[in-house]
Amino acid sequence: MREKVMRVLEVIFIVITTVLVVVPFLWMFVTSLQPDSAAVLTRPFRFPWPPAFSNYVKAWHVEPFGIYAANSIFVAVTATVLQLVTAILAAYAFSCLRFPGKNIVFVAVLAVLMIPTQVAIIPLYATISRLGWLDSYKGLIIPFAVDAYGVFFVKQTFDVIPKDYREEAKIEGAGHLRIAFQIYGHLATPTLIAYAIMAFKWRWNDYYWVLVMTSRQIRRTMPVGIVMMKEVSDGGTQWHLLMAATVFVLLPMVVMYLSLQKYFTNDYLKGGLKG
Amino acid sequence: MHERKLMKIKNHEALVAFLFLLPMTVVFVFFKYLPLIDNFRIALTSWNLFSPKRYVGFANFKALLTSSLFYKILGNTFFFTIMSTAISVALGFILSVLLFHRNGKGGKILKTLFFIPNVTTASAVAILWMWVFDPDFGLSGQICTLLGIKSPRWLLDERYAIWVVIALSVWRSVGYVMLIFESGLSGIPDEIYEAAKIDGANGIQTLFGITIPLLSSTSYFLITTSLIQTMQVFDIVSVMTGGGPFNSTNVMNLYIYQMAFARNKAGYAAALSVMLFLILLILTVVQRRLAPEKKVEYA
Repeated sequence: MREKVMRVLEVIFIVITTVLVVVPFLWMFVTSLQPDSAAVLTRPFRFPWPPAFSNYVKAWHVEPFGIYAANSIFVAVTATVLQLVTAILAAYAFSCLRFPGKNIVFVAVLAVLMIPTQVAIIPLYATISRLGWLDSYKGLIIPFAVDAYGVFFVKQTFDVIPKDYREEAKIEGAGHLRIAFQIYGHLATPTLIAYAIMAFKWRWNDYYWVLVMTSRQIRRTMPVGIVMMKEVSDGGTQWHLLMAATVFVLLPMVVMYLSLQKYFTNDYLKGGLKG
Repeated sequence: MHERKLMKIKNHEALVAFLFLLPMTVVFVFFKYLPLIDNFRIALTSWNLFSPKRYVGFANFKALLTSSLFYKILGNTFFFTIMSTAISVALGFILSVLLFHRNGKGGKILKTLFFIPNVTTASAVAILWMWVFDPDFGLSGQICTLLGIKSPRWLLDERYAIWVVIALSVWRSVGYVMLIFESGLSGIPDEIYEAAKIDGANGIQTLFGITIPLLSSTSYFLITTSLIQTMQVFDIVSVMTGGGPFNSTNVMNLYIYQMAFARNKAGYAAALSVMLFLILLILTVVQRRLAPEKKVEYA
């Protein structure tokens, strides 16, 4: 009897959670397909028929989402690639090369994890401004060309690669650069992919840095663009268009997650964290 | 001869290491370490982002420590952080236990589904939540109209606004918590549960006697990292409420932003940043110090 009650409670809990997760998304879709503001207000729950897919085209032009999307892609991809390259270089140095002061430098890298961007945003703004990098791709990318997490994760993976690979390659005459990228980079592919996805997600979703460091539409990204769309419309928000825009801002990450799920859910990046 | 060759290899390796570490060092020095030091210096000035800096000693710190608004915002930040963390860890734990053995199609779909909010862009999803909680024509307003009641004005009401923000934070993080607990659960050997069953332990006893204690280091990791991360919340608060009504949802990071970039009080904002940095530093040190032994004994 008690078992049965528990079972029912379990099912109820899961159903409620599912509803809470799904309903906001459903609400977003239904609203985004409403033909006009009047329908949004008067027939909110009826699935609009025919669905107004044209809202997506309209919303795309309310703000220059073409520019925002291109900026988002360019900034996130470039920063991710740079992070991978710098992480491989640094991780190889820490893992395979002998040099004086190694421990101190590594501690300095780990200490960076304790300095989130926000706690120094004022001097960072001053620096970017002094360099003339406000409203520029440089300002959005270069400060994120290295990430301490990346160095740390890649080093951990490099640490467990047997030394033999290195020795053999050396005998065959390979230089350090080639060993680092072609041999170590290759062997660490799963870690690199998992890390790249995480890095891409951070850059893609970033709002704060772009908000502070840009003031012109030409360099803004989707997360800031959608908020601008909301703000300029204040008072008379066209919710069907705004929700259509929300759909295309959220969609790329969701699609990426669904298609690369195994890299989101496996243990590649949770080293030392089991149990 | 042999020794000289060895020295040469060592020097060569050091040079390669220097070159390999150069890009990282340049970025970290210019965009991490120098700004951090600079921030302490700016905190001692009355800078407004434009004019030359004027040294004012600890005036900014004195001002903020005697400002009731500062304590209110500090209180909000802690309230938000602790509530978000507690609720998402608790819910994520329950979900992971309930779904752990459901490896069929249904279970997998649910686990995938619950993680989706975690990958969404915070600023965009904050707009979605404004529409969900819109008291006139949003989901909340429409449901209340159907029920014949008046919807609370969620984001405009001091009593509710912070809870709406907390709800969004939990909504986005619960799937992640579930995922990490799941990998913790998979580290507990089945034999322990079998032994408990033979000894006649019921579900509740197993949960409190085995599962929870054996997940202590996972929970510890989740709670501390979540505290440190939610402490820095900005996007969702900034978009949904802008800190209002009456600063009831204002948090440290947003307040720093408002002071620096809306009111041009960069010196004061830098002093606030120093306070936030110290809080985060203490949290991080506590996290490292109190961390339980990584290896949990299963016997």
